Amino acid sequence: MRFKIIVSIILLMFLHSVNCKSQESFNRIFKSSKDKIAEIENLGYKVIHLDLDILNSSEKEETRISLNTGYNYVIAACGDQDRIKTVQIELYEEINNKRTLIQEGRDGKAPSGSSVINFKPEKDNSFLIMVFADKFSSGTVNTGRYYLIVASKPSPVEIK
Amino acid sequence: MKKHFFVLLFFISMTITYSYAQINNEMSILSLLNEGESRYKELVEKSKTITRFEIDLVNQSSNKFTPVRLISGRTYSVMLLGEFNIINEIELKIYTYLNRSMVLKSDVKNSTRILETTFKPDKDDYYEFEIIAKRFSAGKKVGRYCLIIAN
Repeated sequence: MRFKIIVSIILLMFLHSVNCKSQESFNRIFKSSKDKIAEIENLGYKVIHLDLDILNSSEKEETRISLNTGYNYVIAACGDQDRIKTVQIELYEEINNKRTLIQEGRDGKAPSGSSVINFKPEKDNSFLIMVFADKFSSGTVNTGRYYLIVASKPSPVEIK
Repeated sequence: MKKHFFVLLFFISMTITYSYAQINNEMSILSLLNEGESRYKELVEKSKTITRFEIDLVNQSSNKFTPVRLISGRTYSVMLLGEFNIINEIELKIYTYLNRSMVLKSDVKNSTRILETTFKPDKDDYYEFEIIAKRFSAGKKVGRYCLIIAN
């Protein structure tokens, strides 16, 4: 009985520490995204999409977004510095369920950098943004948090 | 006379500066981001861990669908905020996929711009979250929402 209680306490402490680490990781990526948003908005862009989610080694995270002609878009992604070394972005155009790779962003390195794509669509269309972790930090499990920011200049007229 | 002119000039310049700041604030994501930050911290205080945080646009003519991967056996807290002064009423529907067709699992409405609910998935899968801005402020057709998911 005493053994069971001790094991339960150890298990609860372990789960609590895992939860705390995960939350710390979220807080880090939230702050990092907030800094990047301020930087992007200072350049005259307005953020239209923000994603804070988890990446793992086996999957590419997909985000579908409508982009319009006449706007300049910046797409930025970055991983949590303690978990992900580099993040890559791929931008696909989707016409009749066929995906065509248009641009890639591959420069991003934590902690200060992020992968960035600058894009000016030639026509209004639905696009697919894929984000994936290129390298994870050694000694960590192959999952980590990331942010994805899409901003436009000028910002969509309707928001004014 | 000259004094009155300068007082008038001062008020006009203050009004222009204030209006410009208002327009700029309305267009910036930062006010909703700050509101989302204080809301997610409330969930963290309840020992929840944030799994997803999303801000995007939703418009009057089309609802927004966003796929979210959830794990069975967990109870997720879901919070949805509509942008202040733009979206006045919001609704959230959660669907699962069954033989490639969407099946409604949850429908939560609120007469305000903020709603909070819980969801317990019955399988590990992607669930489709539909965000519906039911009522906009006069003259507005597009606004942002903030979706926070925690477990």
